[in-house]
Parts: sequence; structure tokens; C-alpha cells
Amino acid sequence: MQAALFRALAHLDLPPEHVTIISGIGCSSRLPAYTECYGFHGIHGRALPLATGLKLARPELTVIVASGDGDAFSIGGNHFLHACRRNVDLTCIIMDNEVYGMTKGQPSPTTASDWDSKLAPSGTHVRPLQPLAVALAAGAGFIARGFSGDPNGTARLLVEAIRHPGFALVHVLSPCVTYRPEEKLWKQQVHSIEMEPTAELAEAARRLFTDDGLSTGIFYRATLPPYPVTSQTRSDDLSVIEAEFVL
Amino acid sequence: MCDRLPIAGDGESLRLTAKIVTNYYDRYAVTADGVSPMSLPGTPGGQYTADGLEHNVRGVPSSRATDHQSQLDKRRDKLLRYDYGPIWAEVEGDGEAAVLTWGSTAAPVREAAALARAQGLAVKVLVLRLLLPAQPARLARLLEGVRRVLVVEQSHSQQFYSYLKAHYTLPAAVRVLARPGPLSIRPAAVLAQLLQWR
Repeated sequence: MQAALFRALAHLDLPPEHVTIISGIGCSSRLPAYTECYGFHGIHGRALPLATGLKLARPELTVIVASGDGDAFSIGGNHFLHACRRNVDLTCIIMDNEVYGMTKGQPSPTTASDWDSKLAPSGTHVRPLQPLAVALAAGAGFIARGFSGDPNGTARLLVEAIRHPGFALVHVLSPCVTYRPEEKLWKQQVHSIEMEPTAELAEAARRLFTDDGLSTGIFYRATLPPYPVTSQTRSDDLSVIEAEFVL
Repeated sequence: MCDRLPIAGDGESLRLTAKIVTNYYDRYAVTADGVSPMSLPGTPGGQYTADGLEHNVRGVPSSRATDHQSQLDKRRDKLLRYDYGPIWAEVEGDGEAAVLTWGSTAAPVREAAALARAQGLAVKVLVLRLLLPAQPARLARLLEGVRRVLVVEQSHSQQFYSYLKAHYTLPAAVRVLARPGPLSIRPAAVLAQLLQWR
């Protein structure tokens, strides 16, 4: 995933000081410190609100969110819904390994209901969330899926996502080789949707609900008005920013 | 290397904005007062990650014991060496009797003190606004001449009194009015304690 992001940023020729990567908590959220960009390793599930605030205050920056299936869909699930419909110009990368890896293997919102583990014997009996369908229903204008084992393909998706004016979701299948070693098979199972992106909601919904969860590409891309930026804050003056918060 | 923006004074904030003169920037540099200049996104060469994980001077997460020690020292020193000014506590009145409290019980304590003064009892009210870092020397000065202290807190387990005993030296005569919610402590309850203990 890191390689894909680096390639995308290099392709777009974005100066690292103009890129800020905001994350929550989890394996995915270590990403900012591995880059030469500005980074904020925030609190669990709250990367999207942090990134929203930054983008509204500093619209000239490229703001990227790095999150995971637990961080984005469970702890930050409500923020995810509203980020989709608010349509602030962000790129949201969600690395999905279908498990809470950092805390040693609890089922996450995208874990299959029958995944048997020491922590959830015989499975959770809860149907996994369909994050891309949720994003579509919530109003996201750009919905794509990549695979961490395909850094070039994922880089191409990220380039399109960063260029997209508005909220762009890139769901990245990211195997956890420690707690979900069977996900190594994704390397053989992942396949391209081999279709041009659609701007039709119904067609996008059809694609997402008939998808096996392992296809990659851009499922939906529509031009929707981004959330308007009204901040008048001078970007280089902390005292002005502080004054806005004085009671 | 940095501009001092609003100047740190009594209780004023201190913000240091980094001016990057080389392409190498230590966001969490160890400084004399523990405060290190912060670069703003968009500044070339000033990139860093603000990280909740313990980190080195550059902001990179680190498991090195020396980084943990030095960054913990830096944060402690920043808090200890900062001059919080007079706002660390609110002080009202004077007398051999003092009421020591904090937070939501401050208002009923002030009201009780006013009623007590009207009945001829001199009462000093001390409302702590800064709990940590504790200011033992300052409280000791405020308690000079005070012979008895009534601690008032909305708590079942006397948490505030336990905190005071951990960080401060109180006069020998101390009473505690501690009560859990949901009913708030009323001025009459504080006044009764004061008048019974004159």
C-alpha cells in the first residue's frame, strides 16, 4: 500500500509538503510516519473528522486519509457515513484485512460471519458489512477497490481518487498474513472488474451487489458538488487560527 | 529558527512556528523549556508526523528506551517549567478558615462563604483550576495564616481530598464535605459546616 501511495504521489508530482496524511488507529494507521509528507496519527475512528477540519482550513493541501476496516467501519463508522455524503475533497484509503490485527485477531465489521477463531469460536454469526455499497448509499462520488499486492494498479486508482473533486473512497484489500494467512490466496483470487466506471447509481449498485468482493477497479465515479470551503484563515498565521477559537 | 508568536506570560499560550532553514527538521527537539517550534503544513522541509505513539525527535515512532525517556522528560519539563500565572487558582477573601474546592462546587462554596462572612466568620475560598502539575509552593503561600480547611467536593470517595493529600501539605485541621451526585452540594450544607466549626 505504501508503494502504491508513493507511486501515485510521484506520478502526480505533488510536493511532499503539500500532502497531509491523516490516520486513526490500527496497522493501517501507521502509514503517515512512513512517508515524507505531513502526517497526523490521530485517535481511533476519527481520521475523517480530523481530515475534514484540515481540508476546510487549508483547502490548498492534498489531504489523504489512511484507515482500516475496524477504524473506518466500526469505531469510525458514523464518521464514514457522513464523510461520504458531505463530499469534502478528500481521498480516503481504507486498508481492509477483515480482522483487527493490531489487537491480535478479533473479527472486524468486514469479517465473514463463519470465520472461526479463538476469539470468536464458530464465527460471529453476523453478516459482514458491504462498505462500498454503504458508501454508494451514503452519497460518495468516487468508489474504487484496489489490492495491496498490486501496487501499480492501486497507484492508478489513487491517482484518479486524488484527482477526483470530492470525497473519494479507495478500498484496498490488504491481507493480514499473521491472523488471516488464508488471505495470501487473494493474490490469485483478485481480479479486475474490467468495466469503465459508471456514473449511474443503479448500475453501480448492481455492480457492487453482484460483486464477489475481490474485484478491483473504479465502480462508481460521478461529478457531485464538493463541500464548499468558506475558511478565510491565512494559512501561515497560527494566531489568526487561534483567535477563531476564543470564546 | 523560530518565531515566538503570542508571548508566553501569565497563563498565556506559547506557540512557536518553525522556520525551516535546512531540509532537516526535528519537530520534537529537546529544548530548555520543553517547547519546540511547530511547522505548518505546506512549509517545505518541515514535514513531520504528529504521532500518539512514542517517537524520536523527528516524530518517527520509536521503541528505543532513550527516546521514551527524553520525550517523556520533555513533556514533563514543558508542563513543570511553564508559568501558569495567577489563573491556576481563584482566591477570594481571607481568614483562619478556608474552603478548598474545585469545579462545579465552586459556586455554592462562594455563596456559602458570603453568607458566613455576613454572620461574622472570615472565610477564605480557594478554587483550584489547575490540578496538575500541582503547585505546592503557591498553595502553601495561600494557606499562610489558615488554621482550618474545609475541603468540599462532589465525590463519593473523596477523590479531591486524596489528590490534595498526595500533592500538598495541608494544615492539621481538615474536614471534608464529600457527597456524590446526583444532588448537588448546596450553599446551606457548606455554610452549616463552616458555622459548626468556628
